[in-house]
Formats: sequence, C-alpha cells, structure tokens
Amino acid sequence: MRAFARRVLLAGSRPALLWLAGAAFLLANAASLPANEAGAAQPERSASAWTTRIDPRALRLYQPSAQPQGARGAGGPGFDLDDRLAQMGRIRLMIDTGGNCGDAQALREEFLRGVPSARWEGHVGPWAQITLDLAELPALGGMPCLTFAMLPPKGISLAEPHPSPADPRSGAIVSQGTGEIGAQRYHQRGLDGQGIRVGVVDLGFANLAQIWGTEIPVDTETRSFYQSPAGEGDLTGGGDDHGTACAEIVHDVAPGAQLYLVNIFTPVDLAAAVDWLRGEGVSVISHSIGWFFGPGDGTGTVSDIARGACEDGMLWVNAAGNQADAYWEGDFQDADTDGLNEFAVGDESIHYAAGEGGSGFDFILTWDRWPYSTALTFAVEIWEDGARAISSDDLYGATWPYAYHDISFSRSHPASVVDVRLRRVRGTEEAHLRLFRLDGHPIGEHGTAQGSIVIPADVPEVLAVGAYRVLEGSLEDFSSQGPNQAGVPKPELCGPDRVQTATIATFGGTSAACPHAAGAAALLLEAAPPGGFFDFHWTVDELRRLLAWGAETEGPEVSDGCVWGLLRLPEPDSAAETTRVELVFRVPSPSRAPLRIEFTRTLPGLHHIRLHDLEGRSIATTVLSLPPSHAEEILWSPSFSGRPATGW
Amino acid sequence: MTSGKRTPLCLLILLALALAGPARASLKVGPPSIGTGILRFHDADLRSLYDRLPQLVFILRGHGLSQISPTLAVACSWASHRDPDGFLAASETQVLFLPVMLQIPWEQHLNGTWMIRVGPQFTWAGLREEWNATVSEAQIDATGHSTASWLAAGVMGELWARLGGAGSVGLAADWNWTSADRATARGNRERETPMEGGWSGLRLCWTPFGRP
Repeated sequence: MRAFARRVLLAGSRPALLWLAGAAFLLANAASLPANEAGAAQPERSASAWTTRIDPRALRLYQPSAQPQGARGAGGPGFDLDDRLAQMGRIRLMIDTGGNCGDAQALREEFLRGVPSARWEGHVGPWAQITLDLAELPALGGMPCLTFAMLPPKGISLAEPHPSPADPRSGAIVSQGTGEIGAQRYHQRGLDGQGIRVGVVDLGFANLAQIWGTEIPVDTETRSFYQSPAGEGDLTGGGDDHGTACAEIVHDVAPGAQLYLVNIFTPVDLAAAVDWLRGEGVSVISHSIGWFFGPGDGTGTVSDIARGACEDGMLWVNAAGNQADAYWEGDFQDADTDGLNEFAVGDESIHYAAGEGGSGFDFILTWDRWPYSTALTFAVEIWEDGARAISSDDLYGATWPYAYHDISFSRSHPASVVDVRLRRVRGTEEAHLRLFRLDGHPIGEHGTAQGSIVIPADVPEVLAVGAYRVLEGSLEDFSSQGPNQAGVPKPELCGPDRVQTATIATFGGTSAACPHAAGAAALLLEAAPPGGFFDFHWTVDELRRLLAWGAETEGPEVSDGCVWGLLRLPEPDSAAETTRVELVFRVPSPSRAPLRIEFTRTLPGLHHIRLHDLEGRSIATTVLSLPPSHAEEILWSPSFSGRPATGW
Repeated sequence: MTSGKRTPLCLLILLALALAGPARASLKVGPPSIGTGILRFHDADLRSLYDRLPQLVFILRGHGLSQISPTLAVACSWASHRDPDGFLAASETQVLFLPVMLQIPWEQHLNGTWMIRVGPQFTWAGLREEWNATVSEAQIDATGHSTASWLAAGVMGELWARLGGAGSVGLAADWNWTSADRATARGNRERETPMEGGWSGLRLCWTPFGRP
C-alpha cells in the first residue's frame, strides 16, 4: 500500500490523489448513513459501529449515564419506553429495515438467529417490533439489514379536560351530540346502526365493567393489541378510560351497531388491530388518537395503515387533533446565520415569561425531509433564565436518522423565564418545520393554527373531525386545522364536544367529536338501500359524500375550521321536521358596543339560534336549551367577520 | 360472491359415478317437459325484496332403471325491486336465479292415468344480483353487482296425469336447503352475515307427447 501511494505521489497524478481523498471520505461517513440514503454504502462492522444504529435513548439504558439536565423521562412525548420491561432488563424496539432487504417479515428468522433473546412481536412494512435483552443491543446493532432501531412511536389521545358538572346525571347517559347531529330522528325511523360493525381503536378501555350492558351493549367484542400484536395485551392500557368514553358516544349515536373495542400502543399494534378488524367485517373505525411520527402529508407508516383500511372498504374516522393553539409551522429563517430560526424578524424564540406557559414543556419537531435526514438536522432548544438548559440534539445525537425530534422539559422553579428555540444543528439546506406543543398548554406567541392536523387525520381518504362546543355552537380554539402538508383541506367536519358520558362527565376535545361522526356513518350505512343476496354498502367515498351533504355550513368559524361544516346527518327535504322562525329588527349601525339579545320565549329542547345582518352575513350562532322559565342572552360582538349566507 | 358453506361437490360426483354404470346399460331419455311456476326464498330479508319469483323450467327425464327416473331440470327465475321514494336514496335491485337440478325420484304409477314421483334433489344454482342507488343531492349514483353459486340439497315431488293425445300435465313442488352467508358486495368484503339459505318452488309442468 505504501509503495503504491509513493508511486502515485511521485507520478504527480492529481486524479489519483482525488480518488484516494474521496475513498477516505466515504469510509469515514458510511457508518452513520442509512443504507438507502448512501446508495450502496454499508455501515462499518467495527466494534463501535453498532451504536450508530441504535436509538441513543436505548443506549442510555444499556450504558446508564446521567440524563441531560432538565429532561423529563427518556421516552419523550412521542415515544414509548416500557418501564416494566426495563425493570426486567429488556426493551421493546421498532427496527427499521429501510425497505432495502425486503419486507421486515422476510427478515424475521435472520433477526431471531442473530439476537437469541429477541421476541418478534409483529411488523408493518419495513418496521418490525421486537423485545430483547438490553445486553444484546450490540448484536442487534450489528445485523446487516438493520437501518435503525428506535423506541416505538406512540399515539396520543385527543381529549381535553373540562370540569365535571355540578349535578351529575344518573340513569342512562346520552351525549347531547346525539340529538344535535340528528341521530334521534334516524332512531325514530328505526335506523340505529343494526347490522353495522364499528371498531373503536384507542389506547385503553378501563372501567368497561361498570357500564357493561348499560352504556355499552353486551354483544361488544373486545381485544387488546396493547404492546401485543398477538392480541393478548392489557385492554385497560394501564388504566386509561379514554376509549371507554369514545365507545359510549358511538353507542349513543348508533345503539344498534355492534362495537369492536381494540386498544393499541405502537404502529405495529395498530396494524395488527386493523387486520383483525378487517377480518371481523368492521365497516367503520373510530380513532381518537393522534400520531406525530410522520411527514403530515398523508404518507408514512401510520397514515398508510389508515389508507389501507379505507381502500379495503372501512371508513376511517379520526380526531383532527387538539393542536390549533399549540402549533407553529414555517420555513427555517436565519437571516443572521447564527443557526437559530427566526419566528419573526429579530425574534428567535417562543418566549414564556415568569409564571406563564405552565411548568412542563413537551415539544415535537418535524421537518420536510421524511423519513431520513441525517445530513440536515434541526433541534429544539429550551433556554431557562437566559441559559441553554437542554437541546433535543442532546437526546438524539448525530446518529439519529429521522426528520423528527422531541423533548420534554420541566421548569426548575415556577418563576423562571423559558425560551424555546429551533436550531439547525447539522447541514445548510433550508427546510419547512413543524412544531407541536403537547403538554396541554397553548404554544403562545408565533402560534399558527393552519396545518396543525395530526396523523392519520392528514390522509385524504380519512374523515377528519374537529370539535365545536355542543351548547354554544362555536369552534374550539384548540381544534386542529388543515390543510395537510400536501395542501389537502382538513378537517372535513366538526363534531360536538364537551358532551356527557358515564365515563368522563364532560368529555371534550376532538376525541369526543370523532365518535359522533363514526356513529353517524354507521347510521348511514344501515340506511343504504338493502340488497337481497348481498349487502351493498355505501363505499367510503359515498359515505363521505353523504356526510358532506348533511353538514351544516353556516357560521364564519365553521368555514375556517371545518371544510364541509358541522356534523349533521342528512335529512331529505321531505322528512325535514324543523320549525324556522325569523325575526327582523333594526339596531344602530355601525354598532360600537356589544349587543345583547334576550330571548324570553321559552321552549323545551335544543334550538339553533342564528343571527344574520341585513346582508345575510352570519354574525352569531349558538345552540341553546330553553326550558320553560329560562331566558338566554346572545352576545353579538361588532368585530365579527362573516360572509353572505346562501339562501337568505 | 357468496362464499358460504356448500354441500360437498364430491357428493354429486359420487352420485353420478354410482349411477353411471347401470344407467349407461339401460337408461333412455324421455320426451322433454316444460313448466312454469313460482319460487320463494326461505330468508325473510330476501322475501322482503323478492317475494314470489316466476320460474320457467325445462326438464329431461331418464327411463329404464326400474322405478328410478333420474331427471335433469334447468330453471330460470328473475325479480326486481324498486324503491323510488326511499329514505335517503332511490334504489332498484334485480336478481337472476338459475338452478340446475339433478333429481333422483322414485316413480310409481297409481293407475293408467296418475303417476307420482318423489325423491331427493341436488341443485347447483347460479345467481346474479344488481343494485343501484341514487342520491342526487349528494352526487351519488351508486351501482354494484355480484354473482354467486349455491349447492343445495332437497326433496321434490310430482303428480302427473296423462291427457291422452295432449301429453301429460303435472304439478311439481320442491324444497331446497343450502348453507349460505350474505356477503358484502361493496365495502369491507370480509363481512358476512348469516342467511337462511334455500327456497321452495311450485310448478305446473307439461310433457307434450309421450310419457313424462
């Protein structure tokens, strides 16, 4: 080798020198590049190369060291770390074969031979889910077809907490949304979802026993894929009753439908659950869960699972997300080239003054280089009292290959000042960034609602459902909006939230809105003209058209937050039973003060009250309950923005 | 396609093989018969759409096996159901039902005029159903069709009377059973619901010349 190099140098051959330099560069970098991004490059098989393909958070369990100061937990808001497994010296990982060596299932025997302690739990596309002893992480990292092994991404339930009513009701509890969307008129016609199977896919169904046979029908099927793609997991998901409340709402809207309750935790669990539901003949899936590990343009592993269900004739109904007030997106701007994103000219942070913004901060950051982005990496930095406290790059490091970072941080004292910054830590290219805050607090300054739709509500075929307050008719501030990252308008509908269930007294969030739409779809399926020898159901596209037809379109907020309008079951003209009363009166124009309108006529039941100006523009919409002896006021603010209503 | 459980096809094949030997030796094909009648399905949901279907049948009988007269009958039934004022949609369904029946009746002449036949019947039936529904307000013009085949087993009975030069006329009835599920033709095709399979028929048949 030395003799060869000397001859090359003596000959003064520039091309040869360039060849040698290039070869050295390739050898130095091939170890950290996923195979499908480096082309034919293969990672080195040196003793330390295995660590470059294992999630740094898993490595910290293998070689325990101090967590980065201020960080809360090792899993982050978007990932799962099973503490019970960790106590047994094991870990659950999602292995990414990158599609280079064939489907993950084809590699099962190879991985099980190479990692004797591994238990294969399932696969979806190029991802497989395994548990293994921490001590065998080096063996896993050395597997030739492994692109990366990471903690499994997890879904997040989309409920919003609300105070319980002072006088909780007893007896059968029916969501107010049931009548609001017109389901009771279908029930009166004998249409209750009989013969239709609805799957509720959630994180947990705790407390089912208490309402079995009352709020949940006795013929309900249940199965748990929670951290168990074989379907033998914990149906409560560790004590989570979110799914139980969702199931109650489906049953309220479509009491004749047969429910299939399945809980999951990881994408592989989700794929296994959907396969089972498909085989059981389920026609509608209700999923009040949001995922964030994906590009947000309707593609990616979780989105592909939802799309596949739609293509197989199952309408997938998904909560839109509760991130409209907890979201920012934009192109990376760095005019002063200091590596920090400028949210506005000269403003490089999202600022939380002392006492503002809560005590815990959970953020997820993604950018448009999905899925692999090793040459270009962005990180979330948390600064406290002017000093950098933690960066997501501290957690993920240079070997993490995905266009995704997340971070969890706790204030060291309640009065600290916190600034959140986005830094380009590797690379020089521009990118479009998305930042979600997931701890229940609004993002505050610089927040943008547009684009905050979650996965898989971003899939064009999926019916995404935002939320409006059932008793007021106004869009929830947190109800995620579209379009998705491919420009597809979302969410299609907004359903009622802040409804009563037996499990959660006041159930809010797009989590509550979603099952109303799923139940409505079940009613529409039953209402389809029957076949004789065959069941001729509406297709997914036809169900979407029916729901679009029925949607209520009035209200300026509606057009911003819901593409089709508010969820309503279609009511053919001949069957309409509404009573419309119009009152016209004049007020000084332009009004400089709020106008209070008092209704002294009292009627039982729920009533839609809409105020329009004389040009037909909708200026206020509310849903009131006007029992006898009760009067109501509607506040008309002069700062309305509206558009002429049709048909006025 | 209706997937349901079916009477094993091998049973029909074994039966045909069992009859083949002696049948070839002495079986003669008699004059054909034609018939018309009605057919009724056993499933209540089917009857709500297609209550009584007209049926035309063409029959070929064999003679010469003592009192057994193997018979091949091919029938055709059809029906449609319209609901122009449905709750959500105007709809129409149409069905075509084509049973091919292999009958192994025992035949007994009562006197010179009357004859009865009773025996088992094995049927292969093909069917096709079409469906369309229109919701103009929602821009929906939905159509679908699906086909299926059933294997059924049952019993048949006939009472024939000779009319002298006008041939013979007979009254025939059959009852058939099959195990079938109602498959989903649009939507999740994994979904099947139980259906009470089977049908019954009543026919008036005529053999224009010779013995039936």
